[in-house]
Amino acid sequence: MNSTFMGLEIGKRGLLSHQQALHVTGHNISNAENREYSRQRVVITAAEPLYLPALNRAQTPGNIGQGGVISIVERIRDAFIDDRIVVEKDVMGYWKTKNDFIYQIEAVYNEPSDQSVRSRLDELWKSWEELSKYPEQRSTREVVKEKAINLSNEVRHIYRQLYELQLNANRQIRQRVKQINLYAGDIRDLNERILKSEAVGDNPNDLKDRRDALIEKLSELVDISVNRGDKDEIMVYIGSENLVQGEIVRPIEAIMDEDNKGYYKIVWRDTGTDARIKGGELSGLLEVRDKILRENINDINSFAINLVDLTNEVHRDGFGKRGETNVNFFEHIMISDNVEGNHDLNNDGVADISAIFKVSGNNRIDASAAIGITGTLTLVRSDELDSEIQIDYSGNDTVLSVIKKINDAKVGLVAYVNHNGQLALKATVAGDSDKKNFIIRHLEDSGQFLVGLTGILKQNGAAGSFDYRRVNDIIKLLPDREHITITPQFNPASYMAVSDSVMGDVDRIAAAQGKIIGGAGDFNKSNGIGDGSNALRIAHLRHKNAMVDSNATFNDFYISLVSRIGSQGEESQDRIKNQETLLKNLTNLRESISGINLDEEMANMVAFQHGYNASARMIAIFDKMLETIIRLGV
Amino acid sequence: MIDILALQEILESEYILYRSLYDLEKEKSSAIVNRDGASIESISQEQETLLNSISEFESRRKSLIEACSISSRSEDIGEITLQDVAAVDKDSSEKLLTLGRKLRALLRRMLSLQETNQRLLRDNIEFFNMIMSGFKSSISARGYSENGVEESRVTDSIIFNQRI
Repeated sequence: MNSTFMGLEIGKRGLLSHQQALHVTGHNISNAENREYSRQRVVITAAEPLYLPALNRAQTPGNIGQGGVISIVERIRDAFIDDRIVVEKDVMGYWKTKNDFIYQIEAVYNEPSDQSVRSRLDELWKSWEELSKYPEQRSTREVVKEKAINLSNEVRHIYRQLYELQLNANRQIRQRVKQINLYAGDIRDLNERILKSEAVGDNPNDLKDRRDALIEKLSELVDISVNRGDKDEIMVYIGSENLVQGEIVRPIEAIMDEDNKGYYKIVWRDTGTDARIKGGELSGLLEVRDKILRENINDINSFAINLVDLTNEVHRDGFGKRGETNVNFFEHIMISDNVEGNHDLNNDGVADISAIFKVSGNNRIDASAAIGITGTLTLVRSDELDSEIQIDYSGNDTVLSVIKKINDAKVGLVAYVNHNGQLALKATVAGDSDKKNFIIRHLEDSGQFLVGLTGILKQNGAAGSFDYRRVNDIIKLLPDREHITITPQFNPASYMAVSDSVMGDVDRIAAAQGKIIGGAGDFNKSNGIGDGSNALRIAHLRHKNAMVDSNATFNDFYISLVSRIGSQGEESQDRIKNQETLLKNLTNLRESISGINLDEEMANMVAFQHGYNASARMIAIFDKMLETIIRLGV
Repeated sequence: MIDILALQEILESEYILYRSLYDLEKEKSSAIVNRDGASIESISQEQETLLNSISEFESRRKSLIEACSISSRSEDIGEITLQDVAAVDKDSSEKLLTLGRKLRALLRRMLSLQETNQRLLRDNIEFFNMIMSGFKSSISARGYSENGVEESRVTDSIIFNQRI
């Protein structure tokens, strides 16, 4: 039996549900400009009707409605778009970080400008040319010295700035790891609060918004994937391992990696295993530090050591104003104090390798003539495995064709004919570890190419081979110490400088060539003060493909170095623009679902207000009805 | 002997055409974001015309390179590259290589933009498919009741196939 009070109850329910709906509308309107907020919607459903099927039910027509109740306050959100945004933000974070650093690297090279390495190098070549014309003048010698100082300063400056950027990237890696752990902890806390709220039947929409916003922020830092499959817990993965699983968080950690100059590597704190970072700002930073900056530092080192070595090679053969010879023009600091090149690579206090940078053969050769001998060269690649590579030569080969075979093999060793017509072998940047840069790994010849023909090794076969993993192996090389260069100290660009000898006395600059007196077989007497032919030979290095590995002159090598970073910058800017377009599209799509439309909210507000008013009117009507009934008895 | 000048002209013309193609691809991005189907269609038609012109230049370029391969190479050591051609004529090599580099850089940028546009299209198609399925099908939602009891409910589709 329906009582009159039932009408009051229905009216009250109408009031409450419309009041709640108005609150939600107000909440939506207040958050209209909140980018992290998702639109909420009240779902008003009919309350359980009278009567339930039962034998004792009233004998009246059933299913009488009892008004409306709020069944749920829904959050309008689409997981598909959320997941797509997470993916694209990770890519965006990666490119943005890369772009920031590439921009800074471009600024380091400072091209084109009067202060750039390229301009300084051009000035140095010109000064050598001037010196070749006026070798007797002190002023031209001073200019050569000054220009060389300017170039060295600029190279050192570039190295220092690149190194600073590397350190900066390293510091930022640590900061990002801290930030990732912070976000992961916050997501865990929210998971806990959301779970508790849901357990008591609430729908914690705002907490879920906050969690989604945190997940998005996290995705900018590192490549994450989110599993929303389990309604009780949201899971966040880095690679295939979980960072957050419901109420459990597994932090990552930045620890110093001894194998990588003490720079940070990322591991899982609980297991200590490497975390596989494939995207986001963190991945961008790792790539910038370990690839882009490493490549740039190695290139500037390679540029410096080759320029120093080739200039010194020619300079040592020349004569200063007072007849001084065998003087280095640029400073060459050896990797160790040991004159045989023995060096302690693994830092255990005992020398364990022979570190030789360059060796020039004893014999002058006709590089274009057929060599008329056969054999096989065994070399070792500059990789982690020290893998062997064999190069066959036959009688029809020329020295030049064998040189091409060696250089094409890209084993971390280059060959060329030096200014004295001798075969020279020189180490390049290592493929495995920077600690092994500019170290010749292995030289072995089954025939006579490196032995009798060019005069590099004393003996052929395995017994006569040179290998860097043996100490004192310099004895396997035939030339005397004058024709062997010990590996330079790490990062030769960082200490490139004009030698003390030249700094103290510019008359020691070897502008003149020499002549052989008394059949000593070597230049032992200067051509005189007026001879500038050695300076001219140094000036001509400008046109020589001195960067043998890249088959480029010093200028071309440097230009390609600058252009490479330029094109990397262009690519990263393009990628950022593309990502912006993708994210704009996805944000638009999300806004079309989750965004607040003020017109729609205003319409809702009016509708709910009318509903509220009407419910109040209903209560007033039932109140009058009750009054009528009560007066019946008076 | 290869006609280097002709090759340069072809590469320059190709660069101009690819540049126009790239600009159109950029316009396509905006058209997709704005869901302007008519613009997407007209842009695609313009691109097809440009691609036809490019393919003509490509056949001419290939025949020039083949001619070079036959005349200047005694041994077959694989495909001829622009560097090989440039090595034949040192005077124009720098210009030719610069052109090659510019063209390669532009193609890389275009590839990246095309991938972006593909993703844009895929996102929009998936989104609208999802919306349409919301209109057409019933949706099952799970959650907790007021009493904290786990429950699931089925809501009707928004427009089509509604249960009466």
